[in-house]
Amino acid sequence: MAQRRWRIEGSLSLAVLPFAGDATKLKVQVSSMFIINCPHCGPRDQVEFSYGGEAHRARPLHSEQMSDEEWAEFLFMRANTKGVFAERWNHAAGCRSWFNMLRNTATDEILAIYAIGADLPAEVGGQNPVTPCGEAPIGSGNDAAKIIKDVPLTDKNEAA
Amino acid sequence: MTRHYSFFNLLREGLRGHSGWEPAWRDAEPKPSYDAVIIGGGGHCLATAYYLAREHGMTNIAILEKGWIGGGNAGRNTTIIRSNYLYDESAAIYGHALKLWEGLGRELNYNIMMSHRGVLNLAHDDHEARQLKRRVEANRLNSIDSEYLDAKQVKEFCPAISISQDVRYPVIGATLQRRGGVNRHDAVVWGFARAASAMGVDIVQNCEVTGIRAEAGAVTGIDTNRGFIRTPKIASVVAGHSSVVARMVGLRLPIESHPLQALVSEPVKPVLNCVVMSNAVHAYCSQSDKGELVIGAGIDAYLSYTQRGGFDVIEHEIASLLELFPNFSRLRMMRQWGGIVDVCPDASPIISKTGVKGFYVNGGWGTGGWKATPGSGHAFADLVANDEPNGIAAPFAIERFVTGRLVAEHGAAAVAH
Repeated sequence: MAQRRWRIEGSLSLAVLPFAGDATKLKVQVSSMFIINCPHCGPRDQVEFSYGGEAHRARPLHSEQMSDEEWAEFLFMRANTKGVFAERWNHAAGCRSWFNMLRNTATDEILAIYAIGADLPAEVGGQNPVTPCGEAPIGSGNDAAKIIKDVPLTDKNEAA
Repeated sequence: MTRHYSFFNLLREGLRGHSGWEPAWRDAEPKPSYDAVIIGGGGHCLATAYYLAREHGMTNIAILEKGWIGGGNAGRNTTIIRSNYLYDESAAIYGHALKLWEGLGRELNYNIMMSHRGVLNLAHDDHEARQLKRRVEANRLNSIDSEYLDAKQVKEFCPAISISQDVRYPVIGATLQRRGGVNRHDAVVWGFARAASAMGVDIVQNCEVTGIRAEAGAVTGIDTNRGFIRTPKIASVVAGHSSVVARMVGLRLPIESHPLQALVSEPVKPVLNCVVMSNAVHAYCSQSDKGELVIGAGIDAYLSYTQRGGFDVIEHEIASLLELFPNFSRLRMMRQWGGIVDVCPDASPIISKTGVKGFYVNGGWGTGGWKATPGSGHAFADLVANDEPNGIAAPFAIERFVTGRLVAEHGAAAVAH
């Protein structure tokens, strides 16, 4: 299975993003899942990292004024995005620092890594699926649904 | 034309060169409108369609499947059937499902290869043994068959298992549910499809839902890649894509989608006569009728829709398996795959009405959906037909995340989800 631990380097022109309040700029590499480019330690196997879920969720400041619905929204409801998604990761078996990562959950393509607290990077080039439930031509394991994309549309369908 | 499957008809068709069989179910074209539309074409969807038609007389309905029926999680699970849950509400729905499984092959006139070979849940330390004994008693209070075996009895029931006490996780006992077991996933899907189709349900494949239209807080229809379909009721049973479909009506769900991997070994002669599960080493295993060992474990920790998962999870899975069965160490693995499971914070499903009239959700089954297939479909069909949940579905309403109800089944399920 070693061949699955591949990584695409390149597309460096995609983005140069600010990181960690540091004046230096971090080059963002586009890499596949399984190798995560830790901002401190460099590229490491994903097994070293632990997942922290959806990013950019702050604990509400005035919880005593919140309704049950608002609490439920904070505690339980999630975007669960199919497509470009911001999430938290921790390099648990390395430097133990937290960072945010922008990843396409439909393909597992990593688009950007940026500091906790920093704004969502814009224009990183990741593509959301064409339809909400659609599968990407490459990078998705769901061949069952990809095959139908090749089925020519009938006239009736095109009218719709 | 031969519709009924029986020994007599097999014999008759054998003598006629098998020329009289007709397709098991109708691959339908979508009609412009239906009384209800079910999104998804997996086991739970087809069960819902079947019970809607059979129990509630709703035959002008359709299921819309993006790929082919049974191609998602229905075709990717490890087919383990059991109902030995600690939590009363879970025991009710999984127990209901197990009762339905028992008569389902005959009812559908389709051999679903249901094998009640028994499910062992192993105990590796005293605390776990105590907890499992408590669960046995809780199961019995819910009229679910369950018993506790000591290590020697485990070895007698399942000779392949190692009960050596010189290992990191020695087997000191196990619970056994004798009515638990495994069945054949595509037979279940096709059995339900055939029975539903025979009652008039349209099974529409290669039909991807792209949007849901609503007016004045009620659904009016559904946009698909094969045109617009008018309908007053939409039932979403799409597992990993639950959140994506719910967003089409502006709804957010407490669900995260994760890959869950499974793998099978090369086929070998019969070696494992039951289903073996272990919480502590976290692996579960059974042997298929073809002889392959079917192995599963936990989810990949990160959110993903890619139906793959990471290699580290497979390493963990195999390491766990070999802890229990050192004699499997020379087996080669043939196939590995991932399915996208919709995990709720409390590892319990959502079977619920929503704030949008006519939009119903059945999801959040996480890693344990297969065993519930007929029970889930039965309860959900009741909800869709009557617009009110029955006693089995009511505890799984989405309101539980808002009302402050204790949401804690993750610890109470029979396996660490």
